[in-house]
Amino acid sequence: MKIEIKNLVVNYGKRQILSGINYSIEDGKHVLIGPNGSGKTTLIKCILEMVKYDGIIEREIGTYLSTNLIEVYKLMNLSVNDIIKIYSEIYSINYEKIIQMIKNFRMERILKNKINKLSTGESKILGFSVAFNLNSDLMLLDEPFEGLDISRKNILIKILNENSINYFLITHELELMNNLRTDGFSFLLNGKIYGEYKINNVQDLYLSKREVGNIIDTINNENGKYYITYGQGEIPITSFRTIEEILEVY
Amino acid sequence: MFIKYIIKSLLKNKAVWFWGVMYVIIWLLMGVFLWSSTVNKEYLKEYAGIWYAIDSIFSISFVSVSLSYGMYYSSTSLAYLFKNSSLKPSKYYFNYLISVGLFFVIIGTVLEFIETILFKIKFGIIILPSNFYLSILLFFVSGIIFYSFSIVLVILINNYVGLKNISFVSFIPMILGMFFGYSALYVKIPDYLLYTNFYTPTLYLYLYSYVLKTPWIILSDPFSGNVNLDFCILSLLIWLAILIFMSIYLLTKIRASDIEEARIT
Repeated sequence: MKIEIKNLVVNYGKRQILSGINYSIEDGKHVLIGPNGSGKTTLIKCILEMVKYDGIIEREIGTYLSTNLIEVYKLMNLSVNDIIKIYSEIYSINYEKIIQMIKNFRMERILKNKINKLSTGESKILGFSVAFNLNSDLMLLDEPFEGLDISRKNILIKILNENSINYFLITHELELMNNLRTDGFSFLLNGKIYGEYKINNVQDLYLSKREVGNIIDTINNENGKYYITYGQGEIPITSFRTIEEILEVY
Repeated sequence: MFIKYIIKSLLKNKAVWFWGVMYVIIWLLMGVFLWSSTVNKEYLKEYAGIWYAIDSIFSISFVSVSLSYGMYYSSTSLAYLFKNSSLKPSKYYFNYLISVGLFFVIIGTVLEFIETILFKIKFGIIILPSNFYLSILLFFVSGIIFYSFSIVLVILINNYVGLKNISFVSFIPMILGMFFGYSALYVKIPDYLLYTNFYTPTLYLYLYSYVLKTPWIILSDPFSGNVNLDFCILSLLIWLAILIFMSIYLLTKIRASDIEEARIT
């Protein structure tokens, strides 16, 4: 499985959301960290061919994608239970497996709710539970921890760590990355992607204003020049709770 | 494949019941209780038939507009499914058309029942459509035509024009329904327009199913000449084919309506 993104540009009206992104996703577990409003969700929508873009996104023929984006499951305004039945029919998958996963998150109460009435956290659980069980080649996960309490976040991390699945996960929550075992991290800042850094744990990454340690990348923004270093550096990236804090505080 | 789910969602759609039944009943009440005082009892069935035809046009126009909004809200889901699943636009649309057609049959039956009750209350006699099955078939076919027309407009706006215009354009079928409904009642619609639109042929066929007499061109004027029913049927069949083809073609190109994009632009 391989997805190759070349010079991807997305504009909404006069505002540029993504500016010339080059990136590739292969088998494995990939995480993209970026602040809110940086275009992470738009990037996923581009890969799913759901928004107009300039540039090239090459997907290997037969690569089968799934996503936790709740919009894609709003086919009709019905109960969650009916929606799961519809998607089980469309994809010829086991309805019970999806229900069981929702129960594992202790969220069975949402089954009777209308899909349009779900909270953010409930939507994330539903989207993930369906996407996971579609047995796709790659899951595109948009802020899957958003709106979840800490115990459900841990359940989700456990599922992601313990299953042999391919995913491309985007988030702004750095603190959770301590527990997530992945094949690589990237950062999306100001419409540009930094990385991917082929490391298993983001705890090994540091941010420095001085040239210290093993420099693996350089970030230029309005506050100046920063170095991403591996193994040692001034401040561990995971000492920030969110990527927004890095930009604001450091 | 998922007809039962579509029908379930339609039956639970409160907006559809309000616009398709409750709002139309208001017009029906005025027709039966306010404006019927001068009607000769000899023409009571024709009078009831005219109201039945006009209200039916109103109802399917209003319901089609309500339902077409559903397509707009599910555009993201459809755009995703058509690219990332084995679901084909034609398969999805035929499922939807059968469901919508059946739903219009339910609405039509409810309207017929209510009209019969109202005329019984006012005039003390039961007036029923002369050919019930034809009227039901008409609800099925015309419902599909009107719905497809609304869908074509909504997808065109969604894909090519921009979301800012969606409210106005999606109401066009409703506006045309009222325009042709009242025009046929009081004025002579030009020959070039009489059979080339699908509103007036539908209206005349509804009236025919009710009274089993060839309708007058101006519904309130017996001397305005008779409608050609063959042309009406031909018109509906042509529109049916054109609109279904266009809907499916546009569905294959459906674009996800991006809330973020709508907010920014």
